[in-house]
Amino acid sequence: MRAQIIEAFGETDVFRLTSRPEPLPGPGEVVVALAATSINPVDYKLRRYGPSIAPALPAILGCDVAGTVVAVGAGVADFKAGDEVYGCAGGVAGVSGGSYAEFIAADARLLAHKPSSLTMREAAALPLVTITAWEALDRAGVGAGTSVVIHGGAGGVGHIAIQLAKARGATVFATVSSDEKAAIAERLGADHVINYRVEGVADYVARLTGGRGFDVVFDATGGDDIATSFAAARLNGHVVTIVSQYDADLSPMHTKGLSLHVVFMLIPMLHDIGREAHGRLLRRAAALAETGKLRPLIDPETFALEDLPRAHQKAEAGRALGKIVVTIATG
Amino acid sequence: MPGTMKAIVIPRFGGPDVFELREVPVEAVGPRQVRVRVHATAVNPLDYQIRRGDYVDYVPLPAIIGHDISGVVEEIGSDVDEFAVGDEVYYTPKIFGGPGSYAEQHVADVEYVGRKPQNISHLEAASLTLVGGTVWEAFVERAQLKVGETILIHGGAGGVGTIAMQIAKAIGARVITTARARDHEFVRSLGADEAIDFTTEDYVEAVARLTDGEGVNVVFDTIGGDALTRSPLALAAFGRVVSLVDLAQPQNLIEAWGKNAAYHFVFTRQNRGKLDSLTRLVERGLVKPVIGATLPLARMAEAHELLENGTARGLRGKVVIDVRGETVDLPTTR
Repeated sequence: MRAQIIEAFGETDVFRLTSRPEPLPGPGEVVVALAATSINPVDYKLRRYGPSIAPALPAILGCDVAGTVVAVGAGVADFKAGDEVYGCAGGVAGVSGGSYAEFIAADARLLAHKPSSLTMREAAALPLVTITAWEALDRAGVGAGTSVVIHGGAGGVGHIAIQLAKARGATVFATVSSDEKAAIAERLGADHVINYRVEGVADYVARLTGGRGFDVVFDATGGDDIATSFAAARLNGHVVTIVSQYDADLSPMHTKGLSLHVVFMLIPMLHDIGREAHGRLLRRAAALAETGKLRPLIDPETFALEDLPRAHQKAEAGRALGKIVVTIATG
Repeated sequence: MPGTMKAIVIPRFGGPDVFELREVPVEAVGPRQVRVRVHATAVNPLDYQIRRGDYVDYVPLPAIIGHDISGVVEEIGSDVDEFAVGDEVYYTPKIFGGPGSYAEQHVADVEYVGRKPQNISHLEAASLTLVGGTVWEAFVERAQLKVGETILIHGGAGGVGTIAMQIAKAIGARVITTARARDHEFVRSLGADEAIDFTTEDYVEAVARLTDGEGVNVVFDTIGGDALTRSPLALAAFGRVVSLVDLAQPQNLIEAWGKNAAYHFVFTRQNRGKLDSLTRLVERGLVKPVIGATLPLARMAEAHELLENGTARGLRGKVVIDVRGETVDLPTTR
């Protein structure tokens, strides 16, 4: 099969399009013929920095999978050859393959049937960001009537979080950096959209919550401005972040009695604990997609497997609007 | 009544020497308030933090501080039917919400007041309210500690730790605590399953040893410093850290990310239901007050000095204040 492999960590020139043997399904695994994958920040961070959660070299990176089952390993009951599936199933330590290839042997517990209402490209955009956003909302206890502000509302995780929070009956606020992104966040269902370059946190907390603060603040930007999230939260509120590689002054959390949730969705893959939860979650996400409540935002530029270095460059430079999807097979 | 009462007043922020014993007016009782004859109060780290000026924006001077009361209702407001004159009560006064407990009388909204457990004295009851309410908030409402989970409680011999260990045991958790070797027998008597001598072994390594490398489900941080940064090293995946500590310096959370961790910051909040649940545990004998020293109201400065130097003085458990009487009981040097 064709695969993009890396033999060292570094810039995008470490990718080498090469021929590799097709994988065979181990116990509990299925082999998926990939139709598409998508780029997530963890992909280019692993490519650039390597350990400790990167797969051993030489490696095939890539987490998100959408494709068709072609072979089924021992003990797999939920899938059969020909099933269209999606999942976050590769590209890190602890799992056997990556999605930057024509085939992957994937742990069946990490997969779900692809929603029929979505194309393969659309399905490939969803798994990692959907699991992340879902877990974030769960951890913070977002439900009907919760007021939640999502920072980075047009980003990879943020645009999914808006839709999932709406589906739970929450009142959804989103912050974005431009009018173009504001229009996207509104189209996805945000009740109130804030351009944070125009209106500061103290001002929108006063205007939209009467100064009380939001029940839940979800920083989906991947940035290090946690102070703004603390400022936006109400007393005893919840703050969720998806990155933590920075020093932060946590003292506002004390006086406000906040809870901070640091969401890292790769743990089931890295350590083989609770993988069933990911498959279960993607089945529920598929049901939302079938009813039109969940759809991905996809950058219009198209990429094929041989274009992967360029796709990584665009994602890493922050130039994409929505997820970057890489088409692996058309058909 | 209302007449006057003795109270310990701080006219300015500073060391324990700022305290003045004064005769001050007793507040009038509102329709949904009760006036309580204070029999006992207690001293908390929050008290000396306020005294030294950590919360100047919240505390107008001169101030009567203090966050624990056990006493007897002497007067009820016109719309109070939950309590009668003569009822024994214990509670934490509203924090940053008016006069505190270092006084002979206290007027409180009924929402803050709970019935005192029948099987303990006023001195014992006063030792429990802020600590018990805080630990309840931390374990039950925030970290949601569950039966069968493992918790690391820093400082098991201290005023918070002694109660935290007992509540964690009542919940059905396995309790690992840190304490000096001289206190190991003591913390085990309160329910600790394992005790780590933090003066000779790093707690992260000790937890790895005691949990076969899995880590604990919950870390209860009462020590500050770099505990927030290091605690995830002792955590199992999906673990929770609960902290009572106000942090001066920035903290790095990278280890928390690797554990998918949650941090809960508890700055005690209050409702009567919380103390009523604690009361039931006390009356069933599952939580026993631990008093390390007793002093009369007039010796408040000494009480603060003792708490601030608790380790050197061999203090175990709470410093309580006998407001009605003159009890003096100080720790023996260990």
